[in-house]
Formats: sequence, structure tokens, C-alpha cells
Amino acid sequence: MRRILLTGATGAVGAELYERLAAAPGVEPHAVSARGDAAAGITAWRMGADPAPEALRRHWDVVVHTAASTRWNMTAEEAVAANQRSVRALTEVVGPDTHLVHVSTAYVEGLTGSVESDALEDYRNTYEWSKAAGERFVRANFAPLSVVRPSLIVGRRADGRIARYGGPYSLLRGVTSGMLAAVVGDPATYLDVVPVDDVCDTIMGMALGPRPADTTTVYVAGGAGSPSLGDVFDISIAALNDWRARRGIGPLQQPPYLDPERWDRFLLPFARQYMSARQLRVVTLLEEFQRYMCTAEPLPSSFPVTGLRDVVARSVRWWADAYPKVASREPEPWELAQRFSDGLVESA
Amino acid sequence: MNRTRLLEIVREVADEVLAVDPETVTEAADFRQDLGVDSLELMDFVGNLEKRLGLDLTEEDFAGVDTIGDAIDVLAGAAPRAVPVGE
Repeated sequence: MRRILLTGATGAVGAELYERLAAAPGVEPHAVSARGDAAAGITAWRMGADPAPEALRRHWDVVVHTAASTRWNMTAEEAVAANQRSVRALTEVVGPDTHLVHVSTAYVEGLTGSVESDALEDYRNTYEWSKAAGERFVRANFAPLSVVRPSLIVGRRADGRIARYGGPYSLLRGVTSGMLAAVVGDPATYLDVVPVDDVCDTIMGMALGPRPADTTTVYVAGGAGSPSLGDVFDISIAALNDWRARRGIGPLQQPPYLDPERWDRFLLPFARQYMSARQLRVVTLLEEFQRYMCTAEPLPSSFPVTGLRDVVARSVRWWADAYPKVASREPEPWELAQRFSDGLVESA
Repeated sequence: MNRTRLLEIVREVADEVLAVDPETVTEAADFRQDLGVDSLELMDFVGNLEKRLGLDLTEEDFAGVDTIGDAIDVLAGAAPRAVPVGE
């Protein structure tokens, strides 16, 4: 019987993985999450904040570490607590004979192509910066191990199901609420998304296989086969509009694209003076997305991930079913943005 | 408006905007830790509460808000939206 400890068991990857581990023959899984869930058999452990519960202080054949915060706008302090101290806490459960499967991110090499830098400016945000520090720690302390680097995770292939809605899903709310008045990004660049079940397939293969002789890193990413940002928006709006049409709700319009350089250098400095405090806050939040909407180079990919357009459509439908009132909304026009859009058309 | 009524309204808006189980929306519930709310969702939530209650809220009002109870404190002390002369 293989004893496997799973961290982050209520997260997007962890929840999907826990189901699979519980159903796998020859596996004795034990799941933990920050808050725990007694009904689901999940032990509470705030990794990095509290010592490991006594029940976890034993030999594990495999530890699968998915616990992390994927928020792109964490403060540095929050990111250290969520993604560095939690990784250091693995020393309490990973022994010399334990195979660690560490879930990182395909964006962990930030802007330099390496995880070695500790300088925040070498990464798009505190999330990447803290995940890079986490990777450096596990590579230095738990080798040989398996490292999985997924891109932006969406729902599973068959039906779009996912336990938590991170990064790209916020854009759907942005569209239906009207908060996303314009997309600051290049529609021709890559928006790399992968279904959660492809990520879990990879992790299951590692967790149930032999410990590697040398540390292994696997990218789960669409890479050059990824849909473009424009494709993802077109597919998402079409899926949302199909969902709305079946309920007698009018269609949503695709927000216009704005060139990031033009936005940053000319339009935003001018627009700021006309924005309300709330509009400025929305713009600041959406800047975190902008950094992922102008990636001209594809991410590395360890194996082909195909069928991503269908995955996006199914994921959007699942989200709309989960948030029916949000998906049904009539976007509120952002008067300033409308004036800007008009001005942009006039000045083009 | 008393706290009980404010909590009812917060629950209704949370149901509409955040799709969370109303039973989990208690004064002690933490937006991020318990309800899994991200920054954009929180902003959407606050905007809807403003409209529903006819209030003018600033970002500073919500700067230290972690829990539903914190939000109710802000709502209970907020000024009604100023109505321009002639409306």
C-alpha cells in the first residue's frame, strides 16, 4: 500500500486529485488543507503557520504538494507566507525516502528564464517570485523529486468542472459586470490554458510511478499549440452568449482590444484624471492580467496538449452554471471607458 | 438599518454576485479564507451593495475589511449617496 499525503486538497488541482487518489488501487491517501473538511476526511493544517498535526508525523512514500495561493496581487508578505513558508513546512513530512511531487507553475521562470533570481523585478508578480523561491527550496532539500509546471488551469476536458476559479475566470466576471471595459493586450499572442485533468494525469503518473533518479521537471502547457488571446475571448464570449440565449438573455459584446504600450504610455496617464477611485482600483487589478496577455513567445511544453478550444468552451459553460446570476447580468457601461473607446475610434 | 437587516442584504448580494451558500455568510466569515473571494469579486460585491443600499463607499472604507462583520460595520456607518440638486 502506497501512503500518499496530498496538500492543498480543496484547491483546483488538489480537489480533482484527491478524488483520483481515493479511487486508485493500492493507494492510502491522506489529504490536508488549510481549513480542513472533516466531512470529506481532510485534515486541517495551516502549513508554515502551525506545526504539522501529530497524525501527519509519520513516513510518507509520496507527498504531493499542491497547496499554494495563486493570487497575482498578493503583497510580498502574503506571498512569502502562502508559497514559501508552506514549502518550508514540508520538512516536517518529507523524509529522505519520500518522493516529493511539487506543483509549481509554467510561469515560474518569470522574465529571465530562470528560477534563480530572488529579485521581485525579475518576475511578473509576487506569485511567480514566491513560487520560484519555493522551487529553489524543494530542489535544494528534497532531490531527487518531481516538479510539475502547469500553465493557467481551467476545467476538465469532459465537462469543464473545476473546484476553484482562478486567474482567467475573473475575466468572465469582468465581461458580464462591465468592469472589463477594454482588453489591454494583443489578441494575436498566446493565452496558455490547460485542463485540470491533464495536470492531474501528469501528477498521478508521477505519484504512482517510481521516484526519479534525478529531479524531473514536466511542463503541462499548450505551448505553441495554445489558442491565442483573441481565440480565447472569442470562444468564451460565444459560449457565454450561447448559454444566455438558451435562457432568453441578450448577448454580450466583446470588449475592444487596446495596445498595451499605447495604453501604458499615453492613454492611462491621461485617463487617470477622469477615473473614480473604484475605476482606478479596477484598472490596477486588471494590470495583473495584462502581463499574461502580451506573451509573444510560447511557454515550453513537455507533451502536446490538444483540444484546448473545446476545453475553454466547456469551462466557460461550467462557470456560467456555477454563477448563473453573474453570467446573466447586463454589463454596466463604464461611461469613461465608452468615451475613451469613442475617442480611440476617432483618433485611429 | 439594523445589523440583522444589513446581514440579510449582504447575504442576498453575496448569493447573486459571489454564488456562495448563504449559510456560510456569517459575520465571522472571512472573504478570502472562508468564502474564497478574490479582489475583483470583492470589488463587484461592494459595487452591488452600494447600489442596493444607495451608499457612497470609497476604497478606503473597505481597506481593512476582512470579514462579513467588518463589511457590515462599514455599511452601518456609511453616508447615504449624495443626490444632486434638481433630482
